[in-house]
Amino acid sequence: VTLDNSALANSINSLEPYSSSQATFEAPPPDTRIKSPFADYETSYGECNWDGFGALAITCEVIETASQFFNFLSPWLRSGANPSIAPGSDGTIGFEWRSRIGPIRKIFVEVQPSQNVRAYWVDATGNISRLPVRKLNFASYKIQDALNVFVGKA
Amino acid sequence: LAHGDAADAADCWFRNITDLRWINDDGTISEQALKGRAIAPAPPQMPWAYEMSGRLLSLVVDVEADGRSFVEVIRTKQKKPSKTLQFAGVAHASVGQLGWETSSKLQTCTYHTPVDFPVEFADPAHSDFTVTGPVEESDLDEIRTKLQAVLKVLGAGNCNSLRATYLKVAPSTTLSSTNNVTSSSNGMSAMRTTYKPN
Repeated sequence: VTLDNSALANSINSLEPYSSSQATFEAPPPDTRIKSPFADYETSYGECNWDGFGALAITCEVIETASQFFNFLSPWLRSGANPSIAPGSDGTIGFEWRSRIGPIRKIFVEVQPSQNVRAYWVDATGNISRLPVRKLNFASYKIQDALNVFVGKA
Repeated sequence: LAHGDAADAADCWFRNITDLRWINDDGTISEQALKGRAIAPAPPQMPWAYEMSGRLLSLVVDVEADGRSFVEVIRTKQKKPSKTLQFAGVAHASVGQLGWETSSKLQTCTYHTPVDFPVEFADPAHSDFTVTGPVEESDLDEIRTKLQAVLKVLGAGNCNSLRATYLKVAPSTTLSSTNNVTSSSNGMSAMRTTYKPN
């Protein structure tokens, strides 16, 4: 999957109604890009029943959307906020951050078909905040706010 | 322990993990391992709304061997063998830890639900983690998050050390037979339990 970070950044930053002073995206230089974790997803999870219990296939579209989101995460990845990434038998790819400290203890992002993304995060008291299903570009803004809190930048 | 009985709080409930990616980098079970058909709506005749399959340690002799056999059975049912399917370990907790009330007053519990059909998935140790009450999709986020906190993960190769973790749980010398289900406290013994995916 070839991704154009500049195009993604332009696309995201053009969403003025949703931007804020913190909502910026900088494409990382090519030599600092982090290796994609999805290299084997198509061959491993690209067909139905990969779990033996009727799992839905993880489509190329979902993998590409997840890859775009992964590239969007570069600033946080470079600061060490690495998510655990896993396939779901519902045809999704999940990103999960967990911490024992801080105001946000868990962030879960689910990449679905049709470039949709669902997310929720859990604060230190156990309260859950939810981001309903949104297209990736819209969801990314909300998620980056949570990520900034998670890594202590907000 | 009869079909439909609540499991003993001191027993250990565990669930096989069949993909390495379903173990998070910090050693917890992945949220993705608890999605899809893992926690699924229960059949309408069941008194609970959602359920997740697992096993009771007191009714299992060899966790590790059973886990590997389980994966091999799954593999034989795949037209194209999955590259990532493997016995990666188990997620476990005491039955007592698996019973709580959610913020929306749903009740979780663990019931013994031995499986007798299909025969390749027959499992006298089968038990369900259950959720009782009107479950909304949003409730599942909370339940999965709680499960991640409660369930501990043991990687493949170490699973038989579960016995040492739950010292009071001795292997049953009279493992229940799916052909010999006796009376049940809630009348479920008359039901034929069919293996549910995951």
